[in-house]
Amino acid sequence: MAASLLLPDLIAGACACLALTGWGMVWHLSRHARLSEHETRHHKPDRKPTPSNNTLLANAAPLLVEAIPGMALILGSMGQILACNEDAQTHYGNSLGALLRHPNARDTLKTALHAPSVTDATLPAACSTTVQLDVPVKCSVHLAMRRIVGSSERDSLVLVLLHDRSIMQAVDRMRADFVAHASHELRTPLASLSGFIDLMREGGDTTDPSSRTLYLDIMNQQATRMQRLIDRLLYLSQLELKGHHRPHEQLDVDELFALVLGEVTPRFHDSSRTLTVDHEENLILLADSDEMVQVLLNLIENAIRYGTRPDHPLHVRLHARQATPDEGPSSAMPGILITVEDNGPGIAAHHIPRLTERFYRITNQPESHTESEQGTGLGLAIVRQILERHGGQIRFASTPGQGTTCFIWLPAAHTPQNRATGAIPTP
Amino acid sequence: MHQKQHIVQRYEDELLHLRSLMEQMGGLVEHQLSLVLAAIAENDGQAALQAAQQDRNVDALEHKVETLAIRLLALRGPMAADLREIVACIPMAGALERMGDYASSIARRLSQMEQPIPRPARLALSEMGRLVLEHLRRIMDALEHKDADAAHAIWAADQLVDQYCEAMTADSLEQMTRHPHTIRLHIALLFIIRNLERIGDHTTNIAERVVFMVTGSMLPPSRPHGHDSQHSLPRQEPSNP
Repeated sequence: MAASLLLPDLIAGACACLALTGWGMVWHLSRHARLSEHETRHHKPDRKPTPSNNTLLANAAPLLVEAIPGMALILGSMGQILACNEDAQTHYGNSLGALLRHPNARDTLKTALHAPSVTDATLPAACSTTVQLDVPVKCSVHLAMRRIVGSSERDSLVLVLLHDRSIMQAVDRMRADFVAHASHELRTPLASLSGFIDLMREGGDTTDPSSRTLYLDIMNQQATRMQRLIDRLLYLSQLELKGHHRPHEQLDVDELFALVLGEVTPRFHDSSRTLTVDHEENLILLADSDEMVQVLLNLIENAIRYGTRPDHPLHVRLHARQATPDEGPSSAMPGILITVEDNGPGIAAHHIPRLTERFYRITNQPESHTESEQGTGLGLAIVRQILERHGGQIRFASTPGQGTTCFIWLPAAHTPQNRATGAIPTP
Repeated sequence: MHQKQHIVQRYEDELLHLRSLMEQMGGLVEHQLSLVLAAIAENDGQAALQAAQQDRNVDALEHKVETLAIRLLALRGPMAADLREIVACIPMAGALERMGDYASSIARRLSQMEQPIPRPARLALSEMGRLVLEHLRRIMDALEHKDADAAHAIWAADQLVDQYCEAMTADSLEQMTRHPHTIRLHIALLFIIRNLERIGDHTTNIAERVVFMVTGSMLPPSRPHGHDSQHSLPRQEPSNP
């Protein structure tokens, strides 16, 4: 009976079956609560001022929401969480507060609390809304709420079903962002490319071979730059789509560094550049290995790109150790600190806070770079995006004239051998 | 006896109500700042308008919080942790109200701009705004969970916002000297940067109250500021072998 009443106004489509079970149980329990209240009223005239209905329901609430297959929680009339099932906890644990205090959620809660139920058989209307959060990772959640009938409005409880809409939102945003960035960033290299095409057309066969080669070289550089820009933009978009899922793979720093070395060794072929790598033993990260390789490659790439000075050998040092508690975002979390250090010209202090901004390029470098050497302005944005997905952090320190150090903090995996070495500092 | 139970229940309800109002206020200001950021990032005039309109609701909530807190103090004689919490709510609501003011001031300025904000500045402002919004969200979470450690971390992290503000101010000044015809634009930008930085400062005010509320002790009156620590960014030097 409950099912036929509930079905039409509940969440459409795939949720129907899920919700059916949930609401059915709520209905039963609230009905049961009301009946038992009736019974007790005769025997115990001096009952507590809190209606037993509410207490009974509140006690049953955790059991109830846990039974619902899907993300569900029960709120009190002031919006306080009385019960929350494991699904909701694992998915939104840290964001529940922010989701529920959002004005849309508050307004819907208010509407749900005031929704009238005429008789015992009719349920109050279900209300729904969508809440979007921007930080730390953009997400979008659909909330459906219904009041569980209590003795008065004040004592009512509200059952909330959560439904994640982040992917849909992210796909839309990715498309928009990609178009906006690509159309803007490709303009300059494209203009240069078509300029040279015009030049060669006008010159026709009269262009001397050496200029021709020069033009073609520049055109080639521009095309490569456009290619790299598109690749990076696409990579960044893909990272954004994955942003909600934190990697849980275990990754040994030793293995990671070996992979990185395999990639960058060819870049350190002569005596003008050296790379030293050292790390403590038994450092296990919770991280995606491809993405971590990308992070370190981008940082080493930057060290080479911006650190190389004429008649000044470049030293890059890659190092990893256990992080001390005050180096991470929270002192309770064990972490690993990876540093990439160079002895290049350094970065002026006022650039440092903005380094990971998209398309932020440092202008007025002491040594001017040719167009082809110019970065895409996305390398460090990619680094930050990857680290955010991992729950990590990056910060920079630089002394102009002496070099730059990038500090990466990443959560460590709780493995027995990891604990065993604990915080023992190795010299 | 039942009378007494009844009073306790009422008191608990009122305390819950106070917390609920604080959360609601936080949610509203977060939403307002989100709208402002959307207005900056996407040149969305509608979002700017919406953000400016929220101001009234924030003010109304501050009034409610204050009234209820004073009522609780006057009628219930709360003690210890409850007393600290109720007392702290008044300045915290004040700080949130100021943040709301700054957010709607940015929104108004955006809708009065004669020309759209150039793309690099838009990206930079979004980035700084995101940082401020993230701190606001984290401090509201810390308040909800009564987490003094988290509050302390945010209090210290505000120097990132200060550094960002300084970097962007320097950039704007440079642009103004180089291209005098953009002075009007950059003055508007400087106001927006400044307002975001002030929102960050109020986040630290709330953080101080949360620490007081939970631990009963005050944080030192001076906070590490961006310019003091630009060269000492890493809190600890890596141990060199």
